Amino acid sequence: MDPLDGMLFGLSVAMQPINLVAGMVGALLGTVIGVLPGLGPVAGVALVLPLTYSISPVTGLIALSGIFYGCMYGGSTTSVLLNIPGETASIVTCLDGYQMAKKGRAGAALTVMALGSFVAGTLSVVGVVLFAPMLSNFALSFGPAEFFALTFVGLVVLSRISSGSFARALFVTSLGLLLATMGMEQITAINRFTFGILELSHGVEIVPVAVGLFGISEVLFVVEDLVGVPRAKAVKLRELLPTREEWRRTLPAWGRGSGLGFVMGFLPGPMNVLSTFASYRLEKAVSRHKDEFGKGAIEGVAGPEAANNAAATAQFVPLLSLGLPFSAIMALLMAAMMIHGIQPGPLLVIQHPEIFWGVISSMYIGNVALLILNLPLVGVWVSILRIPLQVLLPCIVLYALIGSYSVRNTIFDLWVLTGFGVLGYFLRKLKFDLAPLILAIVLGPMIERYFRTALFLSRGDLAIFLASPISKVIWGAGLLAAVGGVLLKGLRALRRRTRVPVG
Amino acid sequence: MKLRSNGQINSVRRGRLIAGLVGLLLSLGYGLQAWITLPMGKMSQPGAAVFPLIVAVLMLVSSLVILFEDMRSLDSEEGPLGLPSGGGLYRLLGVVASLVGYVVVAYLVGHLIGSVLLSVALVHLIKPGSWVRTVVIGLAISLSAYGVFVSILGVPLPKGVLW
Repeated sequence: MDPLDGMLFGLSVAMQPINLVAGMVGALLGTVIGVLPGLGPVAGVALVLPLTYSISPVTGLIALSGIFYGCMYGGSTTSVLLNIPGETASIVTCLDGYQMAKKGRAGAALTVMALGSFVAGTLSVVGVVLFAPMLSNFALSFGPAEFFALTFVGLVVLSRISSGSFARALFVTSLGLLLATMGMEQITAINRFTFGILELSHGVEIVPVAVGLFGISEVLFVVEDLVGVPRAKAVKLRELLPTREEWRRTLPAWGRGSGLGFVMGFLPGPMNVLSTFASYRLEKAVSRHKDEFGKGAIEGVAGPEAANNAAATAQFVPLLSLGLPFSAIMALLMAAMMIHGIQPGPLLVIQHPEIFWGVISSMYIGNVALLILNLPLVGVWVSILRIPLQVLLPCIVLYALIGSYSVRNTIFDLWVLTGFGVLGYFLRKLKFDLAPLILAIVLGPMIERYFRTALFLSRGDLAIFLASPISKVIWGAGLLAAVGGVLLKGLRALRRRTRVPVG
Repeated sequence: MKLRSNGQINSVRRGRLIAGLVGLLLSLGYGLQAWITLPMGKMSQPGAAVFPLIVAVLMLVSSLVILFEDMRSLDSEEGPLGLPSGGGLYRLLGVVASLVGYVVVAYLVGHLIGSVLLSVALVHLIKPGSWVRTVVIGLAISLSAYGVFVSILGVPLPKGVLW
């Protein structure tokens, strides 16, 4: 199936009424989650994940993907109107978006943001259609040694670029890998670290862990310091149109943001967040209005918003083509597929074209739906922030409990949820990045399987891990990412020292 | 061991030291358990212990580096831990206690009673007011959740072992 046929087939899947509804509901729910400060896309996807187990995998994945990119839209609305980023990828939008709102240009900022997200999302979908099947074909030549290199290096790179020190990220990653080894191991079916607990023989369930770490810990953060949300000024429909000058400055910023975000989306890590910072820097560097940045420069909204959505879409490429989730959300989407016995990877496009092409096509439909709904409903999104916390928080807690229980119908998972909620609270207080933990739980069993299978195939010869040029390139890139920063720092220090005048 | 900066105990650093120590003990216990109870296999057929031992070494190394960084104040992200006190602490502990209470009650008498008690407790913790209002809001939240998830979506929930 060539990309065009694939896209048309995907559209026929995504346009089925049930999938259309799932995409719409997901996108709208995602916008709500994005609007609510703190409750980000990881917690949102984790909370909804159990509900998708009872529906078909393609419908479930379309709904979950909708939540993800819906969050990207919703998070920025409160950044512009209230200077409150709904999620981390919207922090940069606060810098100039809120300043624009203070100057009475909130409507223009919202339009640039929503249209930019749509443009970037659309361009990225085209990119995904072109690149994902190509990457799948290329990955068909990968063996266990190459996949081991890719998964292991992916985790190391993610640890390297996580917020905080490398040691802290590695600590969280190893904690996730430790959890991943609990239960029956896949090759010889031996029970490991189950301590006689029956539920543990099936391993640690990802949903209560993710909901606890990201959802319950957030509730604990909110209740310790209950702060009211200020009221936003209403935005009139006629204020939504940017001026000619604003359009002129916006269009190139969208292009740059889309390109940058798409390329960054292929890399391991929360690239939808990091690409916004990179795009802001880029816009500031190339702008003729540098002095306006931080005071309401429209490029400061247009570029990062496009980058954010392009990266969010591009993140699907490594997941669908290689079976590698490079962020916590993609790890949860992968968990959703695996529950249905579907292994994402190079064979997905052949074995399950309806999922591969259906999910990609649904992104485009979701972007159109969000564009149509986002601007007229801006008042509704802001009013969500007025729901009293005494109603909102019990609902979130109750939903977290129901969602966690419904996966395996065991009380044990409720203890896991509570335990990881408290653990997540303390780890976040100590400024540990929690995303690598989720990724390690999902990738851990794969890394172990690839590692052991490669050794089985090579009869114990460790050289297999460096035998192919692909492996060498991956390990080289991993090494560069792991020690490159340290080397660069050392070189800079050396250069500084040589500049110090003698005497 | 340098734990004081500007005359005050640095809580974040102290917290990380505790995390590092816990990690150190966890990695040793975990590694030892893998070494003793699981087969090592051989190079051509690695057993179930091999990967856990690699993970144990990773955790051990990262815990030691965390301890080293925080003892030598090498980590740039410091500051107060910001644990709540007064009302904040009361609400925080209250939410955790409500969650634990829900799990126990749901196990014994089922989700419905557990969710009503949990919702009422959380509503009271977040905004204490008249008990009638608190109970009405709590009941509305738990019953609507029950209606959506059990009656409409058919999600199975704990029924309780005592019935």
